[in-house]
Amino acid sequence: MTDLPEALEEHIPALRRYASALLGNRDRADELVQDTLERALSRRHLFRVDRNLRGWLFTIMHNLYANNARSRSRAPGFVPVEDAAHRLSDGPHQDDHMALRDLQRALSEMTPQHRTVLLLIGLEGLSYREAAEVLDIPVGTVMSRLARARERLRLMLGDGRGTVPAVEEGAPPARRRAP
Amino acid sequence: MTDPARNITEDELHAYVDGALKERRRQAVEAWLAAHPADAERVAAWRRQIALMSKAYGAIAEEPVPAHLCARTIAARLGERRPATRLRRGGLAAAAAVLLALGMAGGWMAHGLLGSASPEAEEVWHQALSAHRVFTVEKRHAVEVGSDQREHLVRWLSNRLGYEVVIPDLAGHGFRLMGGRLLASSGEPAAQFMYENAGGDRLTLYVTRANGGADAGFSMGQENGMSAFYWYDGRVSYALVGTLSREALNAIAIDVYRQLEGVRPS
Repeated sequence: MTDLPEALEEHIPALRRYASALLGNRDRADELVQDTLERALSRRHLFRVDRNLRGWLFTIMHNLYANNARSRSRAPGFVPVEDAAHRLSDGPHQDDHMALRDLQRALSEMTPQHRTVLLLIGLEGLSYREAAEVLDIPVGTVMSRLARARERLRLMLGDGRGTVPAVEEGAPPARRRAP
Repeated sequence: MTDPARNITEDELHAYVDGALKERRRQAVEAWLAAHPADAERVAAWRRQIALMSKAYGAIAEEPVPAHLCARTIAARLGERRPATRLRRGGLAAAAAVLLALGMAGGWMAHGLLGSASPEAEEVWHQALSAHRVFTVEKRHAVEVGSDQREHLVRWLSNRLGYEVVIPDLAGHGFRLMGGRLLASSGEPAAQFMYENAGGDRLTLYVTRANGGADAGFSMGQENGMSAFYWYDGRVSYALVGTLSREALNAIAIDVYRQLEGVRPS
């Protein structure tokens, strides 16, 4: 590895994507990405050549996130989720719009433990082992968290009736409708 | 026909969704799903979740990265802000390569901290070495609060240091926590955690919020047969002291650093 800044560049889009999904807020996501990059660059001597750069970056981001979450844990409620669905430039169908909004709301209502494992594996495509390293938990714990998180999300999205209710018009479960 | 997949576990259903199964198990899961519509529906729902996440957030990764998040720009800014404090010897290196460079550097590291550490860092470093020398020779009073009262230890020192202290686990290196004590470092509270391995070697981790100067990477030095790694991170100064070989201490210091990464006063 001759040039860490250059090697980092290719991972920044994924870091922004993950952070946005994790925090539900684009501005805060980019702050987290910036903190992660600063930390990585100022700790470059700690990066082991044999280690996977993507995993290292996600580990740093996760630690920063977990630490911030701890210090905010007494704040009432969750930070409001920005409705990113409307940002889709090509005008999504109403169904999609609602499904995306439901997903964002559901993610925001999950515990950080469930949210992180769902996103690292489902959105970022990390292997179970990589996710275990990022989260610093055993692989078995990753699996059990993932199973619980997916079932929880399925219930939250009302997606259990054999159709695709998440994008269905009609009467969704009341719990998904915030006033 | 025997059920081809009566041993399918919940984990395997997820591994199937995530493409983490070997071919034979994949086929077994497919056979199972063909015969078990309820599981098939759950698997389909999990796949929809993944597709939905990708739809919701995938576009973000296609956007151009804003200029302020360019890694080279950030690196340049960091370089301007604290040019002297980072340990440059060894280049980009992994700590192992740093160590190699240290080894080649020979005797010029016999005293004090390697590199251009700040006076504050030197001060903390010396305090850590003194505390190590004084307390590791104690048999009965090596620590003030033993590891059997770990929770109390954490709570007490967190209160005194003013942030949520985390005690690293060094069992992977063969060292068990003995306990810790409160110390003073230039008028500020400091904590020392002591570890011991089966051979009776002792390690101490010295922690204080005393200002270590600019945020700095690892520095390393030796004195009177002791080696110490020092770093300052997020307004906390750390020094890991021991009489192990530099290589061994280096490996432990990296692990401690990683366990404490992101732990900082709010």
